[in-house]
Amino acid sequence: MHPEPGQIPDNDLLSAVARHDEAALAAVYDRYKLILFSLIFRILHDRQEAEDVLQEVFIQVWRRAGDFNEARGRAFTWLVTLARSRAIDRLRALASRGRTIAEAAGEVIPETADAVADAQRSEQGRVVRRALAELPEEQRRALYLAYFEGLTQSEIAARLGDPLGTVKTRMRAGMIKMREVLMSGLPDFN
Amino acid sequence: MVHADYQDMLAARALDALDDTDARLVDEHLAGCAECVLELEAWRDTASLLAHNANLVEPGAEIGKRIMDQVRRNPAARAETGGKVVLMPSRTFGTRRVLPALLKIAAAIAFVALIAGTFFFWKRDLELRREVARLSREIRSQQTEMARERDTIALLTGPDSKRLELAGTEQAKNAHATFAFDRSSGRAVLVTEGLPATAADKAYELWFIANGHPLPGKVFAVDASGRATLSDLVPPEAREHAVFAVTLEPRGGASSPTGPIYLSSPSS
Repeated sequence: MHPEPGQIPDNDLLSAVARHDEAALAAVYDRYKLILFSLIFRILHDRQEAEDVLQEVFIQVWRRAGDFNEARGRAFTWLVTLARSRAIDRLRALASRGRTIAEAAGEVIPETADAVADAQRSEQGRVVRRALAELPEEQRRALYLAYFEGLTQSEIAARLGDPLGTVKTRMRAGMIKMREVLMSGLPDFN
Repeated sequence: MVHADYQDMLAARALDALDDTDARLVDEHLAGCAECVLELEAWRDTASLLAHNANLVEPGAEIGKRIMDQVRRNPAARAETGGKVVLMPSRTFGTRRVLPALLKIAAAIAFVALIAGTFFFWKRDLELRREVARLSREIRSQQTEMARERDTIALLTGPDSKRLELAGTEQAKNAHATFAFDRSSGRAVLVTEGLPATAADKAYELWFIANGHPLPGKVFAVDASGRATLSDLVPPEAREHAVFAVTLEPRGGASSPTGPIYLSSPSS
């Protein structure tokens, strides 16, 4: 995700947040609330839990924006990594309390309608979805189980009934293929 | 395990999908390998983009306000601390008991300082290694670029060189390219400008058309300005009388042209 032309760059916004600029935090929230909440919700399948985690994530951004180092990675990666990590932690805590994903998934949440969603989705988002669509189903599934359910390679192998070596190969091949497609589809991705 | 084994595991590490033992091994390797640290960061960029696959769902309208309220209540908070201050009953110490206690405290402080110093220098060393790896990568990239430019100049000025201008067709009227090659060796360079960006599943392909038969050249992508520079080898049969063209093809390229022509040299 990139700021529109004329918008303040993400790195500058995070620097301002590190100086405890509330307006900058509000701007980061407005820019990233949709993608981060969608990711957290995809992991937890529970609106209330997801909203709690989203709030925790932005409080963490407020406190730790000074830790972000643009020389080491992109702001998008930093924010998404924070959100995913918090959501996976919450998922495991819920599981340990006996609440399974399947139970949580019983909650029906209206998703943004397709046409509206497509309009809201960034160009980067559209390219990524096209890249994922090009992956063979088994590679895509391995990536999703790791990323959205926080499973390790052994857990994925057990879940799918596949040999561990096969899962490792599929996961790496899926990531390589995805990176190749992104490199040709996103000009500033390298 | 060797370096390449660890490299193979970095994509899975970026997804946090390694089992504990593998993760520990990779992390130990990362502590001393700046190249792998950089590669892991690149894989993390790729992994984070998976977030886009989530269906879009708006958070409740009140969440933003809740966050800002919480921030305003405690604006300067840098970290949450779970510790509480516990009042201890005061004690009276004699000099004989105070001195050993002070020595123990001094030793503890010295030990903590030693650990902190070691950690500081380890971290600094890691950062310097990362910087060296980044600069090395930049140097390699610039050397490659300079070598390519030298080749281009040699091809453009060599006694046996042939230079042609490729004009944009109806598909890309503002595009143009320079194509130069050495007639004896066939070494060639193509420099394009103004070609439109392609869809993710498409790429441009160079063609050498000799006696009406198209021979495939390299497949390439352009940057945001429609620029690309690529080297190729002109087949012997196309070195004297041929037309050179660029078409839009499926991303992996085609063995014969299937898409529209974007650039073409004059018929010879």
